[in-house]
Amino acid sequence: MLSGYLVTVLTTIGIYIILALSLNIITGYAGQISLGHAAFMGIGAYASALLYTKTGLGFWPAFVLAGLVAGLVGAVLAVPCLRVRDDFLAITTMGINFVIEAVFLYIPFFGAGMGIGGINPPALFGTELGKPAFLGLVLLVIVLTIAADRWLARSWIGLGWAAIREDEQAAGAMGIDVVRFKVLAFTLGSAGAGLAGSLYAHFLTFIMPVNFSFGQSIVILSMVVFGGIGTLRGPIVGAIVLGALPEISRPAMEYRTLLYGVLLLLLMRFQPDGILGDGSLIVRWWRRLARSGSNVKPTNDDCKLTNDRTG
Amino acid sequence: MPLLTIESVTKEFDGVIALQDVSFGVEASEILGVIGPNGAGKTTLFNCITGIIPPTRGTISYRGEAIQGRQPYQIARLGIGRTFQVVRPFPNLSLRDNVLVALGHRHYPGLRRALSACRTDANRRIAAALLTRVGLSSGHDRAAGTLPLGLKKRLEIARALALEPRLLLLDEPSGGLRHEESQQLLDLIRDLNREGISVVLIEHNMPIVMGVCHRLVVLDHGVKIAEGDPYRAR
Repeated sequence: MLSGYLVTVLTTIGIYIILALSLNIITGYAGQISLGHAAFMGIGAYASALLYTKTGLGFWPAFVLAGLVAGLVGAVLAVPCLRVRDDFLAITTMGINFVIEAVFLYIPFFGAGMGIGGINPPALFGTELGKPAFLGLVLLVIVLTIAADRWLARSWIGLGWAAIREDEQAAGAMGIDVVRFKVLAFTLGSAGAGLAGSLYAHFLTFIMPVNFSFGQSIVILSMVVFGGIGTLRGPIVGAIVLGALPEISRPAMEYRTLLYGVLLLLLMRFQPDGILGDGSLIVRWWRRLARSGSNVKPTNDDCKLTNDRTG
Repeated sequence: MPLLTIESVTKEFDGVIALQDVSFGVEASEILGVIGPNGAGKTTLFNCITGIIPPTRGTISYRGEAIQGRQPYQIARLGIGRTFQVVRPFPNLSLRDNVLVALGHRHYPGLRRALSACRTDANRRIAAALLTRVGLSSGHDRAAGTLPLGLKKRLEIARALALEPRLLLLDEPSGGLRHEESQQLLDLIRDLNREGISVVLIEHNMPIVMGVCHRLVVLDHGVKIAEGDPYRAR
């Protein structure tokens, strides 16, 4: 069996994967930069924690409600975000993160600086889930998130987001309701962060405002950018690599933010699409390998057809 | 009744008057040229019609319905397609996806339809037919940003055609093209017009204007200074 330490690390990475995938909907698919994703994780975590500790609601309804609350707040906060673009959107979302963190920190209802404790792990049929079972739950949520992500990317909604990311004005002139699509991206992305936040709260059993600070948002964004923004594989691999790094080496833990900063700088200089983005060295090399492999196969037509379908 | 009526449209930007009291109509199935020097307000006029910038005053009606102040997507869905002076295909999307974006306008109402797959075989066939229609018969998986200018302009027209437009607004279709390229593009515009699509054309190149337009509107400093037969407007 996996050791307790490994299970803890894997669960943390798993929660980061959900966070990175949900941010990828907003920033990768719809192209709306967000520096405040941790705030929505916090809203989910606090919603879940308060519902659980104050109303006696079980984990499962609290988990679902946490996603709904975070999605709703995301939809409301998307409205001021619609008025700004690019750099100004980045600053607005950063501001949202600071405000929400301050609300958790200064309002006694949210536990203020003391945070909220006594959040038990979820129970199933009367027995509390152990750590390995909780990891299983996180994996299940990841699988569902990936399935939803794939579905959206293939739908008219995903295509509309891509058009907005490429050229907002041209998208509008081609019949795309830009406002509705942007709000939808913020809503779904925030809801995903809320679900991750709920898992986080019930995993740590204790939450504090600092867990959902601007720094945390940067960590999540780094994972998305590192892996390859706008792809499915990128945020997953980014969350795994950057989530595991501080665990593998102590210095990486202490200088975490510095390390992420340097990594991001290097990526922007040498691999602006991230290590697994469509224009990255690894993906180009992989495609070349796949192409040269397919030439020797007799079923060249099949290969062409499948290439065509991924387009 | 004209297909599109522009009545006393004025557009001011912080005190600068880009369009002043401009009125004219676009008849069904005509090709109308809008000409005038740089800064005459031609592109501003297109932006007012398509809802990108609402006019300060005046009314714009399409098939008898006032459309000024509506959102660009609403106007596009009514069947008014446009191209841009500086070409703006979605550069990182494939040619097919560029066309599919505009095809989607029929699918967005209702969440269930918006959630359905967009790259179905049927939709791919429609997109392929539209691309072929404008002369882009192959390479539909290529990213639009990799196309040369002349083909980007054709792609923009294919994208606008996916809206099933009754009215096409073309902003300098021949700009930056070699002579034979622009002649081929004009043939395409004439063909589309013969199929019943009305066209409004912004153009600098006078031989092109004379060759293709049925009627002209001349703008200068935001004011309409002439309107009529191409040979008389000259």
